[in-house]
Amino acid sequence: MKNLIKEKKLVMLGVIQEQHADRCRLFQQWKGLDFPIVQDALNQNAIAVVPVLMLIDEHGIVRSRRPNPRTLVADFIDKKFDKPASMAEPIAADFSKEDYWQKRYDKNPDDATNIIGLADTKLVWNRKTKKIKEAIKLYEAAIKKESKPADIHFRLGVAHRMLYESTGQANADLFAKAVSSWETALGMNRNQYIWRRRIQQYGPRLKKPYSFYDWVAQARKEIMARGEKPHPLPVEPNGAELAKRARQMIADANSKNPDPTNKITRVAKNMVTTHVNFVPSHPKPGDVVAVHVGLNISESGNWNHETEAMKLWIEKPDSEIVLSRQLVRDETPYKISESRKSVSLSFEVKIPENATKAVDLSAFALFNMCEKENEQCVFRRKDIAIKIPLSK
Amino acid sequence: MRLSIAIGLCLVLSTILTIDSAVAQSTRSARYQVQVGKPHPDFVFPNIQDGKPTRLSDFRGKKVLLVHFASW
Repeated sequence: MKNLIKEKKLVMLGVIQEQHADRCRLFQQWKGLDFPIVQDALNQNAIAVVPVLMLIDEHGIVRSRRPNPRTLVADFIDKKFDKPASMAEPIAADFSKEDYWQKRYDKNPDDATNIIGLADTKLVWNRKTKKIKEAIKLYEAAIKKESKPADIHFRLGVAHRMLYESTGQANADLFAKAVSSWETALGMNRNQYIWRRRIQQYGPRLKKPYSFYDWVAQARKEIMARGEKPHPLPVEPNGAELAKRARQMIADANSKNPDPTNKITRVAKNMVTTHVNFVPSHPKPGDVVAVHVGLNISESGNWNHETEAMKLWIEKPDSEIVLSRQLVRDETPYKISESRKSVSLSFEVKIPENATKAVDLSAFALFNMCEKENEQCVFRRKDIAIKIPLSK
Repeated sequence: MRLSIAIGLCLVLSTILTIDSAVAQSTRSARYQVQVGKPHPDFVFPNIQDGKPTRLSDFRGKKVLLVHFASW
């Protein structure tokens, strides 16, 4: 096939179902993919699984949805296809421009297609925080107008995820809204595996088909070995995104409490805030839930990543609750030693079958940080109460 | 399907792909319904290299292998 492309008898066009363009770029660099690739972050093409391949002739007509490598040349490359009586209309040149959709929206603001088109354009082609917020409002309005708004819920989830990541600060509410929107979308269309993957990406290992981003470390290593510089990732995949699939939940029995005597100094009030999220958002008794603990540092300080990694210790509860890990380390490969960017640490909990109310856990984080006021870098502890809500 | 399934191998796998289930349970519009013998609806997405709009119709006049895939 490479020869066909080289001889300009065939053009390959990739459409990647991926949330982060930078991760696409790293993947493209790693694999040396030299054909054009476009990103469909909102699943606008409504692809339900990947990979999907299609052969499209010179007139834009689909000739195969099941390409056969043995007959590709005879049945497609060497074949002359007649120009059809009717052709697909190319989309408007300014289809990707916000103005185009704004005008349509202004003309008919009650039309869900116009509302969604405007919101999609803000997200896909702009991505500034203000635009993401505007898109969220539009999707929320569109949901009220549609009888089958599953795909709008998915888009809303993407918008919340983008907003969550846009500030560099963890916000439990935004992450929860992203997961909740995706859960709603999937609840309306259980066969949509692209949507399902978004939840699994952040979910527990038992529910994962595979690790989503374990390839990133390998890609960087191989790219650097080639003497190239890997494309940077503004949002590093971590925790559940890197976790490998597991077939059973094994309790962590070996970790040791990093502050056994409870003597490490607590961080000053309001210096560090924590946000906790759960995937699934409301587990049932017997479920395994991924718990994501996000830590934000105030403007009066910054994290110091120069020394040992941030740690999260979860106290072993007395009940039948099983923890995948009691001690979680931040494994983000930091390129700078000081940062205010939120840190996320994840672990998994198996809810007892007989649980009847929210599950409470006690945890604490240990970290190195620097205080701006006195220019001191210190090691501190933050106690964290975790309450896992159960499905009603 | 994992990323380790390189694009080049996708063709080989084509016979086992369940493409019929893949396309377009679109809740948005019929423009994403794809049928053999019919025009593929046009689309525009950002190119991941430079973010510029790339349309399927930019490739009109060429034979195209369109691949929907993921890195995970």
